[in-house]
Amino acid sequence: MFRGALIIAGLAVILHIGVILISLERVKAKPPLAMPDTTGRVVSQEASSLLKHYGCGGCHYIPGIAGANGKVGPGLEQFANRAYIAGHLPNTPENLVHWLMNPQRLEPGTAMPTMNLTSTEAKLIAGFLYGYDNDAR
Amino acid sequence: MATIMMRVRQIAGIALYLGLANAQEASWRSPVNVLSRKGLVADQISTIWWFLFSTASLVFLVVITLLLIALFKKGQAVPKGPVQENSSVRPILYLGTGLTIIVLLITAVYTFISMRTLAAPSQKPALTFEIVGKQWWWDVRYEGESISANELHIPSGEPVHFSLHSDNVIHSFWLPDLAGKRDLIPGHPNSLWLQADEPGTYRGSCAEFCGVQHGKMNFTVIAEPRAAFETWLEHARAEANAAVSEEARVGQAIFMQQGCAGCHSIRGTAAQGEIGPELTHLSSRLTLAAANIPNTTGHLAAWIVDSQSIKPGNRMPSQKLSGEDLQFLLSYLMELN
Ligand code: HEC
Ligand SMILES: [Cu+2]
Repeated sequence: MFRGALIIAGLAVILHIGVILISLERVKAKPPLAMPDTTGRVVSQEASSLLKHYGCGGCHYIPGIAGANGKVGPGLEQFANRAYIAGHLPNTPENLVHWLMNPQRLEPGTAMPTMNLTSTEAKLIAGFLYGYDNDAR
Repeated sequence: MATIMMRVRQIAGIALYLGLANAQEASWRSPVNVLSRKGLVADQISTIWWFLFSTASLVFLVVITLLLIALFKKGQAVPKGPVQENSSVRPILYLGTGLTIIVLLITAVYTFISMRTLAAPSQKPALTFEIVGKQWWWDVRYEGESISANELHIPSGEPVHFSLHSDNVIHSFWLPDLAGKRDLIPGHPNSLWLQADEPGTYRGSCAEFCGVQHGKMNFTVIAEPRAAFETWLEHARAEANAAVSEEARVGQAIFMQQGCAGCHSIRGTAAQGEIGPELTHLSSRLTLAAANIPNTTGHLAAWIVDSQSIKPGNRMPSQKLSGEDLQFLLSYLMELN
């Protein structure tokens, strides 16, 4: 009798405290400014929000960007090691920035649309793809 | 003190809605709050909730305290036998039962009175929208005609009436910041009224499991001053702009041939399909695919060619299109503002 009642009272109080503690954790928890991807790399919030806004992840697999697991176009992992962009442009930073800003001019009819990125945005994203997004500005 | 109360409310609100809070997103994705007071109805519901919560917490505290006192108090053991016949326990029994009845009566009467005021707005809503729940998106109708999908504007500061329908399975219309849930039941129109006190962008979702993509069946409500709302309504009811650029004109022809027109309607064109959302002013919407992805060119392209990866099992097949045709289509859809 005594034991049972004590256990129930104890459990009720622990449950209450538990809920309050979990909520406190939730209130405190801020999304990290930068998060390491599977390879331990740190993704800048700026590049990551650009990629999300433009919807790159709808067509490409991009390590480090949550939900970017599209299969329409090629995966963008280890992009610095690619020899060519879109199969025929040499993979230089200038070409990549031009490609991001206006793929339809470089390769008319490719599925990737021209999304009117500014050159600053394109540089940030290119920097991210090459893996040195922290000093891309 | 006020900040402590705010803090407590915030914590309790989040405790009720663990999981949905995700700060740092765009406004149509901003976290919803089941205890918000952003509308007349929500305000009432919130007050009821706080009243019941405080009463229950008080009762909880009293019971636990009495229990602990009883457990640790040294005294003579309770005599054996039925409690009713034991005169030393009888007053406690009566007091306990009496108090319980009184507390329950107060909460019941209070709740009934509040629910009465919730049943109908004091001023008759001047506006009625019909919302038809689909698998897995929302058809927004006004005076019998689809004028939008997954997104609508309402005037702030006045009650708005919703007539809720379904022609498939049961869905539930839920705008946590503004009102409670209301089911959309096939063959049984339901209705709901709500009022947004302030202009703002509010996120809603389906709250009744309705199939594989139930979790991605959301919508956005934009409350704005009356004049801005009327401009929106007039625009939403108007027919689509004629395609201007050469690319858009080619895109329109592709839209009609490719099969899009069999499922989608664009008012003012030959496209009259009714399986998918109407697209008359598509590019003026904030989101695509039932408030799941932002409405930008990249997302739109990905949706068209690979809708099945973005929302697996949804009723739009991923479209097989050449890269060129996709660009023409995009030009056309982007002109539908
Ligand atoms: C078999 C019917 C069908 C065909 C064909 C079809 N769609 Fe769809 N479409 C749908 C359905 C259903 C949805 C809603 C999906 C959801 O959100 O669950 C949709 C959604 C959309 C949306 C998002 C609308 C919004 O406001 O969220 C766009 C844009 C779209 N379709 C464009 C197209 C284009 C362009 C084509 C032709 C290339 C096409 N669709 C062909 C059925 C179809
Ligand atoms: Cu649902």
